[in-house]
Amino acid sequence: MARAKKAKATSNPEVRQSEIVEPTKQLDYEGNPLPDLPDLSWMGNTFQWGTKALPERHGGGLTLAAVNIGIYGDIPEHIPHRNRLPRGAVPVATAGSIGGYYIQDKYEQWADSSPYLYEEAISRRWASATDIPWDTGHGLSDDVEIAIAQVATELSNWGSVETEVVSAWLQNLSPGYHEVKYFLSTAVYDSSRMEEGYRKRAMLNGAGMMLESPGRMNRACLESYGSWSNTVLFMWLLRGSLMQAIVRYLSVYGPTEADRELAFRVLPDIMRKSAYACDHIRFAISKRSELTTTMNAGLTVAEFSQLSDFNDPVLWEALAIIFGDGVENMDQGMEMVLELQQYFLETYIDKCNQANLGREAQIRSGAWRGILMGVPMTGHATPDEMREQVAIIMQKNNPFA
Amino acid sequence: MATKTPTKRATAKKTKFPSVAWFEAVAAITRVDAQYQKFGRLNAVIAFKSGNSIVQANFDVLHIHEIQEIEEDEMRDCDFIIELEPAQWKDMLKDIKKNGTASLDWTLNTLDLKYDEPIHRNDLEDGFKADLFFRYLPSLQVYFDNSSQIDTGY
Repeated sequence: MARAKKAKATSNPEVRQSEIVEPTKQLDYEGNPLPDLPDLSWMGNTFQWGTKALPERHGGGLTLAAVNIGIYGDIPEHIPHRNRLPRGAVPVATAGSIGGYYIQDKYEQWADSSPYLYEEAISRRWASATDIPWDTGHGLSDDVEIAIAQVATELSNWGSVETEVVSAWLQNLSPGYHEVKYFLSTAVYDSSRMEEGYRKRAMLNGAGMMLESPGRMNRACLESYGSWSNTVLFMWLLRGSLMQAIVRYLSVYGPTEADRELAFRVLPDIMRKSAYACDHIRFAISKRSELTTTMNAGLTVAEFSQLSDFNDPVLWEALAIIFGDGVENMDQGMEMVLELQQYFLETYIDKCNQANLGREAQIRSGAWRGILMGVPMTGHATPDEMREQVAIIMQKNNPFA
Repeated sequence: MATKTPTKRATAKKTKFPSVAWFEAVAAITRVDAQYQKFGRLNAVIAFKSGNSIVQANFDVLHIHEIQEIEEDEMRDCDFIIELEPAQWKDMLKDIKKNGTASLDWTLNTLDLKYDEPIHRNDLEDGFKADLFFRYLPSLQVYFDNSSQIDTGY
């Protein structure tokens, strides 16, 4: 528009042309000016032209790991930019800092398995609406139906907490480690699917949503502000081990085919999060060995929250009713609950070992010892009563007594 | 067709379990199985042990290949091992043959939980690799359920 006005104000056609056409303007063979070409100098801004990614064989497609090649596969120890700069892209000054993404170090979030876990989660996705044979989930006695609705309510509740906790952290993690963010996005989805899957189960036959879980461990996960690694420890090593134990037992001893299949499909989702957790914590400790102390201290506190939730009888009674196939056989069901609680602790110890955090001595000698010695935590015995039961077992097992 | 079927069944060659031929035959069915493909990608080199016989297979995305016999000391290179006693393998496969798929008592998941020791392990006690068993259970169950489509000899 500015150029057009300038042309009108000039009476001499020659002068007018010289003002309109830039000195460098190219002309065609008849002397007419060629249209302006855009400035394409930005096209030279790539750090490594010619880096070509190849799809995987055997139907794997073009995966995230397959594009981590050349300089794009170099994962730096620190991301200096506090903005949305994608790793490997050329920074521009105007993008500035938005002041977020304060978790900028690799040891604070990284796990080598992240790109693989992401592809696995995407490829192995499923839908609770259509992949569960809901028509097989009927015909239970009222007590067992109410019990499974109670367990479903708590699992749904835990899924909800995970979704919110991971979502809240995502905005703080640097986009430079996009593999982690992608994987965590699938974790949010997996947790939501657990939440909605178990909500559907509770609603299937009329029992509906029952009591929410006591909430101390939920709060420990939600309020683990110290670091993302702390959250991972609380949520996917400690509580994740309990979640794995309950879902594992439901996948075999669930009261209906629908219950078993739902648990069977949820289990691999839990295991991917557990894999990331162990891999990440092991990596973090390999970079900063002093973290072992703070992580162990954090877990000691979180274990108290978990222990406190264990003292609520509702979940254990509901599981005992399910495993015993009714209120009248709860005692037999409680034997399986003890087995489940022992499975949880052994799984937790194994995961801590995988992550290079030795918790075995603390677990086997501390407040959890009773369970490992065969005294289930039912929420009905006081700590003194449990200690007394443990002492009796120890005396029985002592050949010199 | 109806008159031919009994004759065909009577003369059908049985594929011996465990053997490379048996795992190849089931792999050929599984690779094109729509449910197996729907369950999605997996990446694990798995050893199947029955008595002294060990067969290894590479579950590579949606492909199953590199099926071969291996020695005991080569199991350390596998992501995980699934081991059952020969009689347990036989009972499991017979149950699958009878029902088309494993009944609840004979799924890999049930056997792993119900026996005193899990049926899966990593020989170097690498928990990360051993846990692949749980991540890929739905696919592995489809694989063994497909054995109902072949005649197995023992």
